[in-house]
Amino acid sequence: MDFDTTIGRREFIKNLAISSAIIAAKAMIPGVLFANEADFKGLGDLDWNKTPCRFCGVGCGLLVAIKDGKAVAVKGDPQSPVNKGLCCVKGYHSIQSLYAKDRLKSAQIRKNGKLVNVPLKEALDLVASKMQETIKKHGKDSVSMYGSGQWTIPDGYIASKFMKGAIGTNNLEANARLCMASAVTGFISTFGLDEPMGCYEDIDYADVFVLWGNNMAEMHPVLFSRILDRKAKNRKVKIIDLATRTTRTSYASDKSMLFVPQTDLAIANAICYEILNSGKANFDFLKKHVSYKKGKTNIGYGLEDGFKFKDKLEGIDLDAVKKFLEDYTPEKVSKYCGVSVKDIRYLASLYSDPKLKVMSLWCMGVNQHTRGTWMNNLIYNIHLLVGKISTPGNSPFSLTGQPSACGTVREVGTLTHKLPYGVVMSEKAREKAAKIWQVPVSKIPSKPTHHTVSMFRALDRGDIKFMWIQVTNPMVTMPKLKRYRDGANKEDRFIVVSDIYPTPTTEIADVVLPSALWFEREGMFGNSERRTQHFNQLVQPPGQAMSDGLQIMEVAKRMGHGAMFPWTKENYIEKIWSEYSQFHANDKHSMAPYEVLKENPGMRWPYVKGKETRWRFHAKYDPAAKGDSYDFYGKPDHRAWLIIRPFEMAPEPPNKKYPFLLCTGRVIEHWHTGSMTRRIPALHQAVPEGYVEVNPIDAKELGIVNNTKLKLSSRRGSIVLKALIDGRARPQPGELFVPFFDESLLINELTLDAFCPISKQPDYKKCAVKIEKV
Amino acid sequence: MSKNKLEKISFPMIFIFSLLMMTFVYVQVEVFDHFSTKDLDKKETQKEVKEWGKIDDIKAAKQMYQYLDRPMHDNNFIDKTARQRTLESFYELRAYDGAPPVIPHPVEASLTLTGDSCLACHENGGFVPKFNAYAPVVPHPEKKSCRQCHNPRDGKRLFKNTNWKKNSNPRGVNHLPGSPLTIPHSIQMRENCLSCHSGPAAVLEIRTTHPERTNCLQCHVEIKSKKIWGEN
Repeated sequence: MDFDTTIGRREFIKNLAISSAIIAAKAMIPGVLFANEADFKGLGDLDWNKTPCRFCGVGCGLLVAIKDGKAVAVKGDPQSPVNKGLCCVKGYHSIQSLYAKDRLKSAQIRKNGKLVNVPLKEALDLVASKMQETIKKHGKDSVSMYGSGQWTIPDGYIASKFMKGAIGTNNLEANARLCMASAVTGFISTFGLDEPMGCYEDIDYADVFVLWGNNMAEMHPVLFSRILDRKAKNRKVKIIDLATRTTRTSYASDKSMLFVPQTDLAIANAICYEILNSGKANFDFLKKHVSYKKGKTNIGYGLEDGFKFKDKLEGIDLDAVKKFLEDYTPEKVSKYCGVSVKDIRYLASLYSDPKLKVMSLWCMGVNQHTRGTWMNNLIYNIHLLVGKISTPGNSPFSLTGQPSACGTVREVGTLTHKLPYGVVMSEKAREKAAKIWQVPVSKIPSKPTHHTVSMFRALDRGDIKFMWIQVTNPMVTMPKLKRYRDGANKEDRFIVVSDIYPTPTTEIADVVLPSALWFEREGMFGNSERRTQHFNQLVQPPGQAMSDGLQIMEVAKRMGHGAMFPWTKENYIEKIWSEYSQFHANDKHSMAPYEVLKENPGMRWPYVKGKETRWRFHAKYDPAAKGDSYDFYGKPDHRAWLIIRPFEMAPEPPNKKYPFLLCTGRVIEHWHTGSMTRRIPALHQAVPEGYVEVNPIDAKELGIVNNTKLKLSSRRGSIVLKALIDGRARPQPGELFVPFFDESLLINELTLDAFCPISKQPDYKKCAVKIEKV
Repeated sequence: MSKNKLEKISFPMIFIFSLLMMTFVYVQVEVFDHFSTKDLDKKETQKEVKEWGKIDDIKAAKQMYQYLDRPMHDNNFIDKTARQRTLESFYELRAYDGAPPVIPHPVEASLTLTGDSCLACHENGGFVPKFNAYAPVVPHPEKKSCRQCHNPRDGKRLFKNTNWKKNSNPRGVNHLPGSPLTIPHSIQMRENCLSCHSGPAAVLEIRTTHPERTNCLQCHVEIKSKKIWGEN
């Protein structure tokens, strides 16, 4: 400090004295008035209200300022344990998504090929009569509903009760099938129960973070900042980025390892081999808490209509596991995976060092994978071999993409095989649902019908004639898009779309219903760490817009199912919450009561005796766990299942004609299909259009520079995009990356509709394409 | 106060009042000087200030003291030939007061997290010949993932027009004549007052006249909203 404090202070006081005297005098002189106090209020006249963020699955707590019935500002909620007051660029600008000029305010019906505004009542009447007519003519399984992980929990619950309880069809799916299905089947096969055992607090305890194909810096930015914060406070903390593309995350990591797409299966097995072979496995843990299984192999890719697959797990012993892993020595795997033997050994040593707490994180790279379930299983295998699970900092953590993929799709179960408790195949689960819904058990069909891809195929074939799409934009997001768009446009198909803005999906609609967005209605979301967050209605929805749930209730009433939805506009959220909570009323999953949710920045289930649960499956933290340590109570033998899974090829490897491998994904500024974020000025201006990332080596060879127009073609379609070289990330040579937010540059015209046979989740990350300069 | 009422106040009254006021202030200054500066030498004062910073664990206070040795602390350090920021240009970069500003200048390929390259200029400020301007100082240099919240602009076109209206910008108010201005905005993420209110890159209209008085919250209080969730 080289300024003189004492003189500064003295001068300051004198200055202050003079200026205050002047101000006092000025006030007395006619003509000089105090400014109108209203101008001077600043933020004093704003209401700040809590709500979870509407974008990704992290579930940040926001404070939204309301003035004159409009949202005017956002800040991170310092009281929220999720984000502790920090947001990302989407969160800070999120409220602007409510106010674009082309917001849908009126219901629309297609007349002579054009959507025209009609009174809401007319549109709802038409939806109900069309639905009834279709059921009468073609049976219950000819109508379907396709929702989303952006449904609030009550909306999803209404949809499930309506489709499965009132109509009696399992034709209910949600876009989380495209994003979280492999995570679910991974959890179910290994632990018997869905959703992470750990929570975000693991980040504050872990010493090593291994990111499996996960560009967290852009996709889960607030959590990534929490990791960076952990690292800043503790220098021994290491971040390992295991990816197919060099991203901001790679640069922020201590080590970046690039692998050939699909070989993550082999790498995970090689890590397991190394852990077992070096004798560093936690044999005590394995003996007490793990049993070994093997599943079917060579399981296909689901490319053909009518594809069916059911996995079957058989018990094996540890020696069989060891024998299986002999094919995956680091030396063997290194030859085709692109990661060196040294690096594989290094990873294994980090996982197996008893002094280090390890957290693995993953999202779409592992889930959107034709062997997505297997990849989830394999990461759990690593953690089980070293016994690093269910304790603070030791956490295999499956991240979520959507604000309520967990809360709505996975917990309420808006999928063809699911009920709010259990699966439709289970008689016990059907009985429970029938009892709570007060319908005969026979009403709820016991067989799952269509998963998402199959449902759109059925729409194309004509097995499904009626589809109601809510809170999602499948005409941008379906892989092999053209087939499904053509199918939806066929003559006798009837499509209802509930949305907030015109999108490529409203273009195929026969009826468009205007929806209330986010805090224009009351609701709840459930985030990645089992946290349920409630938000109040803060502003009025525009025009005729109403919540998606209320739309379904209105149609249900018109179809004669009113008695199942006896709630009013004012109380339906609270009433549904208490009805829905009955499904989970046990120590393994009980939900916090409505009043508690209203007063807190979210609560993590199981919420037992007034306390949330941070780590499941360990008696120290989880009231449902018996004994004095681990208890994997999801499985009948109270053990976690280590399932051996081999490496199998991706369905469409590059060849001479299609030499590049295409990966699709997101950017930090845009949320999914961009229907909201592109209407936010700062976000659209940051990334105004889609592009294709090319590796600089390939670019040099082909004479491509930034903004060179490239025609990308796959066996299914082609589009023209501008090249971007080292702008945001760098794919490996022979790979391309295209974000999917731009509805005028539909990359999903090119993608392949191959899926994981167990989870039925498509792989958006690997299909063969060629590029030509145009 | 309406004009009519004011007109009824006679000129002698104003004169007497002003005289009284000035006398009062003069006496105050002398008394304060007597007690505050006489027996304190420079080093002791500094020590006092630094220790305060340590004892007080309120983040705001901590942040304020962290940057005492930065050039922004000195209002004399201003080059008037350099480009000056104005309140208008300041708010043009923000969707609302408190929103993270967009990056108004071209940035090189953003493969990295950018923390280090952004902070090279924006941690301490300083003159950047390329832009003929002083770099504004970030109030939260501990956050390194800059592009999590700040993005450059690739054109100013919109995808669809918007009805979004920016709320009027906050302005401080002194509730008594001559009393210190209140803080009209949230200081979350902006706990370091001097990063915006002092130094060569600070916006002209909102520069403090007394950056050397580091304990801002001693005199300036944050106006709390009438309703904040979780706080009342």
